[in-house]
Amino acid sequence: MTQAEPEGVLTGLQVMEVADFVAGPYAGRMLAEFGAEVIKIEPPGRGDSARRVGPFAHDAPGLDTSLLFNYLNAGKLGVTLDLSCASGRALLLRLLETADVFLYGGSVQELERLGLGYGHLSRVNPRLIGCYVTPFGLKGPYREYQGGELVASHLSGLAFDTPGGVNDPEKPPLKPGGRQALMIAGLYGCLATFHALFAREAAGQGQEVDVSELEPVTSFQFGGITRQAFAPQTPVRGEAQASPLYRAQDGDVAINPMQEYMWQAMVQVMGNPAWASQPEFTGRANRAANRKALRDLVDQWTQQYPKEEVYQRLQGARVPAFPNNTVADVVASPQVQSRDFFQPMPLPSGERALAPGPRYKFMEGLPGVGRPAPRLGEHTVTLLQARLGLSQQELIQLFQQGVV
Amino acid sequence: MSGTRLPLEGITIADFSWVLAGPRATEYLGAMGARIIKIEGPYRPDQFRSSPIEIPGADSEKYSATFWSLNYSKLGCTIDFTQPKGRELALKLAAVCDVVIENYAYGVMEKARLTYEDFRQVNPEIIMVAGSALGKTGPSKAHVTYGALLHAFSGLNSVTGYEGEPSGTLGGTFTDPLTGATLALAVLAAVWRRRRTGRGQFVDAAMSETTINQFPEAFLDYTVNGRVGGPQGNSEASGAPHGCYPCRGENRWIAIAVRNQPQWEALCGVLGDPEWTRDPRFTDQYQRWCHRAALGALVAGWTQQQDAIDLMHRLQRAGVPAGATYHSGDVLADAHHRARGFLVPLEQEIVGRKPVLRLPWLLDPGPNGNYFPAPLLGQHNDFVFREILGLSAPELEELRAGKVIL
Repeated sequence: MTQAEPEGVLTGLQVMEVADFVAGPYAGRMLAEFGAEVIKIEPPGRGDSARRVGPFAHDAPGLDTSLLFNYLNAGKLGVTLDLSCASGRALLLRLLETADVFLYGGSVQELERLGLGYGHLSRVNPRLIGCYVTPFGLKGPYREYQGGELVASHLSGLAFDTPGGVNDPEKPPLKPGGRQALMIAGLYGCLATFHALFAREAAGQGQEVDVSELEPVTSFQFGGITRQAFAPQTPVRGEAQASPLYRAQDGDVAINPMQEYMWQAMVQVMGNPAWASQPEFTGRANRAANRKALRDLVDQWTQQYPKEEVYQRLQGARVPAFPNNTVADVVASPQVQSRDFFQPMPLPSGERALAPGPRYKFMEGLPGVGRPAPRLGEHTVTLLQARLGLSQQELIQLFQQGVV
Repeated sequence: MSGTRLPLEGITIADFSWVLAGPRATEYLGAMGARIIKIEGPYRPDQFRSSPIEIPGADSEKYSATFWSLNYSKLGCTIDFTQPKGRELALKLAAVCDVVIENYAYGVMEKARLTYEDFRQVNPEIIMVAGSALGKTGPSKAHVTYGALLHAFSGLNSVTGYEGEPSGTLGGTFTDPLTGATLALAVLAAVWRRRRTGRGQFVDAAMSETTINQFPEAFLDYTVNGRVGGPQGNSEASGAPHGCYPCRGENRWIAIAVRNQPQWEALCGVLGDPEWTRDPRFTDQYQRWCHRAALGALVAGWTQQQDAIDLMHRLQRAGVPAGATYHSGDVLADAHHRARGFLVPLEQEIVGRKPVLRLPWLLDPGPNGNYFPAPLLGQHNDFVFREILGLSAPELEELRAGKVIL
């Protein structure tokens, strides 16, 4: 079944992943994209909780059909191991003796229950890097608080300013669509693991890497935080970003003529309407002060055309503008298509689904994910035999006792 | 080996980036120990030197709080690389660097003939990492943007908003810092590979693509199931109450995310077990989800009388996932962030003592980071041009006279 794969940045790096849902598993997937061998360990029977989260392929729910799970875990090998029992933990520790990275994603309470803290693991393998992606981090007064996407988006300040240009202050602040905070934590988990790889080389010893799901997304609010540190004032909801959306015939178009020359170019594209030379719309400050009236006037122009046409005409005059795309528009975009960004991703069923590719294009060293996400326990027998030399009889015993 | 050697010690980066995404990447790399040489036009410096958060008393063209927050752990020099002499100087610098990074609008580096091919000729093992709006190839590569407009292009707006309503927008900056982390990761990966293979390369990172990567399940739902999803508000596919509820005071809110039965029971405990919690519509996770609107209204009636931050702690201590909707002032005052040393104070003559955000993760035993304040415009010209490049004093004078450097 092996095929010659192009050598990746991390080819030869061994990662053991005990990570649930989104943040930790996404870090693991990013390491797998670079060619690392990522072995995902899941509890027997139920597996990763993302297996039960939709959307499901062809709307048929099942443990192997979650599209979220399949994306986050593509490229990994899958082993089931009951870590709540001593025999299961002992097998994991043996696997960790030769591993480079232990990637954990879950709560600190669970981590303590399983006894997989770095102090313990580093005694087994002093060169091991232990990357722990947890809701609030391993240290600090909230370390045992419960997190998740909603909590992190609100507690980070991301939700306070969303939606941009709040129209109705009675409506609650919003988390953005998808699972932005958790995906960001996964991205930072991968980034921090690279940092630790360099640190291991420099210092000759492994590292504990403490990634809180809250800190990376909070760091996106550096502008507001810096403002507070330099000139404290009570922030106003939605003020960070006025909505750049205008109505087109078939949806919205986002426009931001931030500089004066951009505004002048836009006025020309609009056909130099008389209102544009009125004093209330002359200069950036006046336009900001009369934002609402201005929006209605610009809307009258944009509404005459499809969003794609408004976008192309404004970009033709070098005015920053983009269509407010749906996911279907994005997949059909000639720009995105010309870069082959969406790539076929194998699913366990054998089907290949068009999925977003890696975040960057490398000339070499980024082979991407070649294999589908594992079915629950798919590689348990082969891996435990090959890596730990377990006999058929031992495997049968472990299976009968529910360890694997 | 010494345990205090910084992980990226010995790596030098020629940093042609400006504004947000690129500077965020290089401040991370600087904190990890790389030597970052930030290159600015002497008469066209980083735009964020003059906006948007001014420092009282500082020359508003030269140093702003925004710039401070994005450029720690770097050396600063000036080169007008649009002039032939400046281009020559930029190439001379790249020849002694390991990495070149840039995030100008498409055309700036290309017009100056400072592309990967140009750098490779003076330094065959160079790594170049470029961040751009839509990528360095494709029919729209030259389109102009601000980061926030890419929330529209990437489809992220289309899934953001109140359930059943038209698409909203993300507030604040999002795509730019996201791209910053992505660029830093790309640099580390490319350097890691070069250590093993001796080969440099070019990395092309599009802000649009790193944003699309953030919500793959929505794209798969379309490519596999044909479904074009819309905004989901604060809700999740299952679980209730799962939303954001008003609290006492202006603009105070709390997010509560009940995902299972024990959390529901814990919430009822904090509520004081009122009669309505025993309503058959709320008996289990599935029933609560079916009746989530009615449930949400009842929860909101209760939260309205509570202080958001106090309630968050009461709920969390009882085992209920909850987070107050923080604004930036709350973040700055938060006890957890303080205990984790998330803000690192730095000292500089114009600024005094003010914090920056450290790398948003911790290494143990470390070392954890090397932090020093953002450079003034051209602050390290002498060091870069004389010590690193070995130029003579008359050569420097000539460059100054020609306005190639400051």
